[in-house]
Amino acid sequence: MSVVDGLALGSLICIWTLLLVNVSLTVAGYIYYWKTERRPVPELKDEDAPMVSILVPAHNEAVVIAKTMDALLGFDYPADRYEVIVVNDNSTDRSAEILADIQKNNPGRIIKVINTDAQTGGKGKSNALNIAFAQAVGDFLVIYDADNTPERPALRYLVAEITNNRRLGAVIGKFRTRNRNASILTRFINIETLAFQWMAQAGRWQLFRLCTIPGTNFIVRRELIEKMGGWDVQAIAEDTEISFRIYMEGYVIKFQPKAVTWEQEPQTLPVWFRQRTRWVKGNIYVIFKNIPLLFKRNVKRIKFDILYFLSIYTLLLASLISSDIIFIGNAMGLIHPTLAGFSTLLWLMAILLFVVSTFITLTTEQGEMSWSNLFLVVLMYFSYSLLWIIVAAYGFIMYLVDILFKRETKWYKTERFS
Amino acid sequence: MTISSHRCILVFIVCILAALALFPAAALATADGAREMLYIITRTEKEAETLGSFAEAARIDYEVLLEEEYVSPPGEMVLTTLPRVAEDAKNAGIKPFCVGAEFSSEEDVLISEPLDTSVSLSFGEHSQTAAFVNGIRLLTYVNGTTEGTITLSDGRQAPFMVKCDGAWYAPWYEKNGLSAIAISVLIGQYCGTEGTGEMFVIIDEIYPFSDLSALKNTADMLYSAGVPFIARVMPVYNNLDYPAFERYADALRYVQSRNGTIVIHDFIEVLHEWEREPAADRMARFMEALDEQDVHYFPFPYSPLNIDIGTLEGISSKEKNFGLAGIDIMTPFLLDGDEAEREELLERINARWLTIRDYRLRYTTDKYAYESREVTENFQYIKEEERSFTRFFAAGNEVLVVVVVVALLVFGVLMVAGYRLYRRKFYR
Repeated sequence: MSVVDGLALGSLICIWTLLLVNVSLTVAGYIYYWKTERRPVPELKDEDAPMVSILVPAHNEAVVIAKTMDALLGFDYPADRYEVIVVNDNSTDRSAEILADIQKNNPGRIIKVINTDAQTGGKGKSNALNIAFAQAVGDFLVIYDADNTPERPALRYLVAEITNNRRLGAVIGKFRTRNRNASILTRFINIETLAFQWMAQAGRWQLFRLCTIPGTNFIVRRELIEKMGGWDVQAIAEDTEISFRIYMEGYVIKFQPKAVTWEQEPQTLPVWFRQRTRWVKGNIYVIFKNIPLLFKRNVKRIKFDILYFLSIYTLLLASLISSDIIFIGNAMGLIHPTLAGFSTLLWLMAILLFVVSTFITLTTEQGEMSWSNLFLVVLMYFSYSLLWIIVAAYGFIMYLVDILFKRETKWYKTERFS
Repeated sequence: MTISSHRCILVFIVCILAALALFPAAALATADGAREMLYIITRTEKEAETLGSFAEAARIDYEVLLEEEYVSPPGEMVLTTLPRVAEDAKNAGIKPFCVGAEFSSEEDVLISEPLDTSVSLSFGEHSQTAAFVNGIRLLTYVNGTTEGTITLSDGRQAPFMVKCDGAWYAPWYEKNGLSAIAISVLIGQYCGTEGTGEMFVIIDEIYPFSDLSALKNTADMLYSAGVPFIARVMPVYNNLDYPAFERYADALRYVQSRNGTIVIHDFIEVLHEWEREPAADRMARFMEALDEQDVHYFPFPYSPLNIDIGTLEGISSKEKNFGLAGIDIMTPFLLDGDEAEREELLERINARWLTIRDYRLRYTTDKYAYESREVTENFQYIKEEERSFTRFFAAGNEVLVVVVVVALLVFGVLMVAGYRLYRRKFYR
């Protein structure tokens, strides 16, 4: 067997294994969807409502901050039982002015605005959260990105879940795409986020009681953050990092899809590309940092996560790239793999499986089960999915370059669209 | 370094250059002991090709030099159409053979201006009846031995050629016909070989895609008439395992059993050849394929002069039999046309009383029996590549098809249930 054949064989095994793992996760996620539809969210009486601090890191968010604050102040939750802490992190736009106005117009509400300068702020999301955390008085911390529009019951649902079960270290809600009709890209992202949440979050919760904090729309126990000494300012994917730490403390993270927030997604490819590159780099950083956990005894659950992400970012990526190179090289007559292959029927069925498993997650949301979305899913297979390979490869290379030249990790802020 | 040492080096260089000029290539050529080479020096490739075919008919080895490559007479035997070359040769003490209309009067010969007239030619035992010729130049005075006679329509006569002490002259010849035979014979004499020559029938340029049944049919026809023949095949270099090649080889085996001698056409360099494989390797592959198919082919170093039956009919001989012309002649037997046409052609060959020889006898007296072989009919034209891990993939394929089908069924069930839930939830 030649090197090319070995690569091709390894790639095929990886691709099929991960395809089947993902299909299993999707099925499990859908079962969880059924369960949540039947079971109501635990009840939370106003008098039992604990004090909650909502932390909002904001860097040049003038375009969206007013709308976000409206939603945050409009929660179906006793107004005196939660505070909103906005870290206006080294902004150069009108954010400070807008926030001051909001404070002035809502005299009865607990709103803390912390304006940082280049000295104290501008060091990324983790740093901003740490600044907000220092001012927080709540027993629970809830984090929202500055472009979010959470639904009115979202906060109550998150608090009700976490107070109902002592083992929950954090509860995460679901995020939806606010600007899904803005471009074909946001339509893809809309489908992707739904599929991802029902597969990776709901599926993993159903099978392994595992979830990953998504960076926004989640609640976490204050004592946990205290114990960790705040957020790791090195990690540019602070969510994955926090999730691992919560599991290591012996807690679990639950997915509560009824707590919904709407967020703005990149509308153009360059913005999308930069955002996703940051995610990839951040996730790779966390995964590699936590590889030693694979050999520890008391953290069984995280092992699946580390292996899962490790295989996606290394094995699957390498497999997809090498199988594509082999395919193109073979078509150009440059390389001649002699490896037998699967039948065309099987490959077609695999594509069908991808389409069906993605589409089925769309049946959970109103208006998403449509022919146009079905068509988009098919289109995604040949376009958006390929873009992901490029992003992942690029992110991986950038991660290695950063390590090689000891470059500081930089927090790229996702550009907002008015 | 002194001026005198500079001069020493200069003198040395001049000596080397002079030595190089004094030892022409011809001197080196004779040194290897081989038979003297005939050099054909002409203005155009076409002229060289014609004269070359004459030389081959006399079984003479030759080399061609075109005017643009010519520097000085390269050897002791020079056949040329160019007066300048003849002049150089004579100055170098070489006796050239001068052919064609470019020569004018010299000390030993007077040559006329070009004439348009009809001429008859007699040469040795043969003569050719009158035909109109444009721009013929005649030898009007000669001081030497003459060969052949040209007779004009008004009865005037002139020698066809003359062998003078300083040079040989033949101011008129044609590509075909008796003049071609005459020049071929004279080239043989010029080179010192007096061959008797033989006559052959040839079926030329047989390709795998030629009409093979017509070929077999013709072979039968010639065999029954007692006419041995040469079958010259065109080499093919690829797809030698195809049924088409098997059929080709089968037809050739049939031909050789019918007194046909298989010879191979020279390698033809195709323009825009993208293959880098050397010609010799390709030819060797073709020969090997013929060997495997028991097709016995023979060397064909000199191609006889190709004269069709119509031309031969126009040449009369003293005896009824055409006799031997002194060079090798082959008359083509064409495969195109129907059976009746081929029968007529055979009839004409018989009627001209040609003494057809069996070319194979130059090499062997063996006879070859024909045995039909089965042609691989269900040949796989596109070879399936060797595949590795076929069993692993075959089994994997089955398992995965089952897994995927099960997954699709599960999704199907979920989809139906999900659709109902969707309607309950959102259309209430």
